[in-house]
Formats: sequence, C-alpha cells, structure tokens
Amino acid sequence: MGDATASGVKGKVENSAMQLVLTLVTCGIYGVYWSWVRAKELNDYLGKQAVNPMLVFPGCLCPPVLIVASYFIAKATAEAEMKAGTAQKDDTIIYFLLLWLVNFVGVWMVQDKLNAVWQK
Amino acid sequence: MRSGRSRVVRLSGLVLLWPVAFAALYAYRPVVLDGPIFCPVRLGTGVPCPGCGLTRAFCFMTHGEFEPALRFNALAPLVIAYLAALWIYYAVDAWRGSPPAWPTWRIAGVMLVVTAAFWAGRLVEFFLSPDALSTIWRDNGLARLLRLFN
Repeated sequence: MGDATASGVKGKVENSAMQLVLTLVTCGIYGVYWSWVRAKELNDYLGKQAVNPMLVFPGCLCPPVLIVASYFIAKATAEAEMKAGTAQKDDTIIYFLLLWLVNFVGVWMVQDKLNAVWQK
Repeated sequence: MRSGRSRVVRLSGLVLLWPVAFAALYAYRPVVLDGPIFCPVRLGTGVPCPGCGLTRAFCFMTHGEFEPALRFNALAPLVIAYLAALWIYYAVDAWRGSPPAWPTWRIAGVMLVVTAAFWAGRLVEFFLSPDALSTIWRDNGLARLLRLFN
C-alpha cells in the first residue's frame, strides 16, 4: 500500500489506461473492484469515510446505488486533489458524470487524477 | 452539524425513497418481462451476473408474487435487507448529523462474499444447462451488434 505522509496515507499509482481496458473487457466487473480499492485509498488519504463501502459494493446489484457511489468517489477525488494541491477547482460534477454515464472513461480519468495526487 | 433545513430536506428525501421506489416497481411490473437489458455482463457475454433478475424480482415482489420473484433472483430478499440497512445508515446520519459507527467495510465485505458465492453457483448452474453455449453464442455483445446490422 501507499506511504504515510503529513497529508495522509497515499494510494498506489496505477496505469490509468490499463484500468480503462480492464473495466471494458470485464464488462464493468473490474470497475466495481476498482471503486472498492479507490474508496479505501481515498478514505485513508482524507482521514474520514468520504466513500461509504456499503454503497460501492451493491452497485453491481442495484444501479441507482452505483450512481450514488460514483458521486461520492467523484467528490472524494476532487477533495483529494484540493488537499494535494493538484487542482485549483472542484471537478466533482465532471468526474461524477463520466463515472456514471461513460464508466470506463471515468475510471481512466479519475485514476489519472489520483495518480497525480499520489505522486505529489 | 447540518443546518435544520438541510436536515429536513435529507430526511424528507429518505422518507420518500421507499414509496417512490415501490410505486415505480409496481407500475413497471406489467411490462418488466419485455423490458430492456441494462446489465453490461449479460449484454457483453450472454452470461448472467449476480444482479440479473433483480429488477424483475423486485417488481414481482411489489405485487406479492414471491415465488416467481425468488426464481428470478434468490438474492432479492437479502439485497432488500442490505438496502434497508443502507437506508437506516443514512437516516441516522441525516437525523444526528453524523454517521453511525458501523463496521461498513465488514458489512460490505460479507455481502460481497455472499454475492460472489451466489454468482459462482449461478455460473455453475448456467454452464451445466444444455443450452449454455448456444445462449452465449446468441446473446454475446458481438452477436447482438451483428444482428443490429442485419
């Protein structure tokens, strides 16, 4: 797992294009695993339960819950960016819409942004 | 602490959630068997995912048809209990202004294991059926795409 710093426990840098490909070829199953791991990393980094894991998992069973989970992941990502200083404005809405409507693109974009946070 | 207005809005939304969901599923019941497939696993591979059949099961349950509902997806009652637990979690959060100290990772993890086991059973059942390969051949994403152009 990541290293602890004054700004929180950092997550693992992943190949964002590979996350997109894996989400596509597994018909979204990898996307659920990805959300689960990112929720853990974001919660650790932000030092609070920014993403409730109870929302992440049933996303594959109940799509409306997945929409809510996508929102919280998007919000926590934007918050992590602000905390790390890698973004100046809150892009929650963009991340949310991508994760919800074009999930694999959202996975790629959010992973890219998180990599920047972890590398800061 | 949340403001009083924000709390009332959140609580009202949560209270309305169940009757709205029930009404939508009740109204959808007559056409649910002809409804579109949204599951990416089913659309891409022709193989059912652990959630396939839940919409049909929920719709049938709103009409009191529990036996066919369980045939569509035996996990349906457990999923409803899980969603009810989630609802309680957010209702407490909205009411108190702070979430309850639940072992959320453990609860989600247990549900994940149960669902994985259910899916494994479902896949075994699917692949043991005599028309498994023909179903995959007919219902995979590529075949669906080709049919669109024919």
